[in-house]
Amino acid sequence: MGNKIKVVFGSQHIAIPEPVSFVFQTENEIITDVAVDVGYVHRGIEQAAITKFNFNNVQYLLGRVCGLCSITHASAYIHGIEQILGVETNKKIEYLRTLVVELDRIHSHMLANGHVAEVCGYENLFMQTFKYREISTEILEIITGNRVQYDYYKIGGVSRDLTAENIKMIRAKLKELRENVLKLIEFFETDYTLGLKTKGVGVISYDMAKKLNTAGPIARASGLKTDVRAEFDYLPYEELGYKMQVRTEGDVWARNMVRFDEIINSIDICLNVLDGLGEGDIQVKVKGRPKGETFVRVEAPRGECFYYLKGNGTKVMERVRVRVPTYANVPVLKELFVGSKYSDAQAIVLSFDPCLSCTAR
Amino acid sequence: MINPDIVMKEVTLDSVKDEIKSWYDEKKYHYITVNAIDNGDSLTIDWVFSEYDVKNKIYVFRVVGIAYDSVVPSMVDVIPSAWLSEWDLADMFDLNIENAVRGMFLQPEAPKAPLRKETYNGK
Repeated sequence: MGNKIKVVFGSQHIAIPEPVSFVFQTENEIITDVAVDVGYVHRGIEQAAITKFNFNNVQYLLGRVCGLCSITHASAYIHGIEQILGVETNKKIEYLRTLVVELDRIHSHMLANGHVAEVCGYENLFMQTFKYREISTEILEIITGNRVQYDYYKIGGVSRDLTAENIKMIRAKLKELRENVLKLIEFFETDYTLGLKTKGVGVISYDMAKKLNTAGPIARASGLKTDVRAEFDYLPYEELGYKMQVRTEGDVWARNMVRFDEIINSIDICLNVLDGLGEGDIQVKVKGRPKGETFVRVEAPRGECFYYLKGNGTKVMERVRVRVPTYANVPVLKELFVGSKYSDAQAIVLSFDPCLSCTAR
Repeated sequence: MINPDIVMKEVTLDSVKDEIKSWYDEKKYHYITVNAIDNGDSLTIDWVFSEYDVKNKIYVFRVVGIAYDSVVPSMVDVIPSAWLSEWDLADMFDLNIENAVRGMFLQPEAPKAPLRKETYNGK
């Protein structure tokens, strides 16, 4: 007979930056059962989108679904609305959108990896990762005027153009960021003690990832080759040098490394955007009101984000459905806990980079 | 502009589970979510999937004209990860989905069925 203890983890906990509650049933410090509650930050955003906002302002509301991937929500909505309205944008608009979407991915991945370092006891590494993350938020501020809520996507365009001076500054900062991220990668890849905390911990097998429909870096760290950037044409990723990043270990370490690999690829994509930006308007003409429905997939930093949109020809949308990536990854997280040590729970949760603000909406 | 290739199959509430069960292959298809749309007098429910390695394709199993008090079958024994999206719909539409637990997304004191038209239209 083991020592059975029930441990409540969250909704407010030193290791998790967002309000999620897990109630672990443990036996000799091994988790034997878990209950999960994600609904502490439900804000009624789907209802607000179909009752309180004109369709051409809904992207600003949806950007508030999440502070870390606000551009993801705006992008999914705008790409869907543009399809319903039949709006064709130009190369420059699509390139500028890609630039901000990828910078958002960079700062989000840096945040996630910094938090994993912190819960593994690496306070200094956490601070260093966040210091370098600042470079990406500074670039976002140059482009959009904001560090977090960019409100950059508009129907048929983007809100601001880049000057030649901006481009020069951004290029220099991206190169500085790349050098610093490579240093972090070397540390995460080779440090023995960090490896003890992360390698072989919280392993998701390829079969488990597939069976539980896992998404994003969590899936790719288990060898599952799925990324909406490769599966759904919403931005010109192929021509901008996108490469899918896959690892096969499936553990906390692999999830961190996939995110680092993606940061390097995203920096390269951003540099390619700047090289190929060219001339053009940042807004095309938009006419009409949305009538009809569509299904949209985009790749958020945490994985696949899905939107269903339905317009009825009025100023207000009929239905806006948001399915975020953390939502797709909660089932596998719940399964993964069972059999794990309670002491590994923090690193496992943080390696999922969960966003409960997104999930509860 | 995006150009999703949507393969829509309209089925009945009685047959949807068997249809998905006979079609779904976890090695080939990726379950995205289940979604409901309130038509004012009934609901439409979509089960949405994509296919690995195939670009722009989205598969939808659609049931229309579902009465608000219908019992909607759970897909959890076919798709083990489906429980969260089912619990979500159960809360948001006050929908009777088999084995769905209420209260995951809405606290007990929250308004019921916030995504039903009769709720937000104040009827």
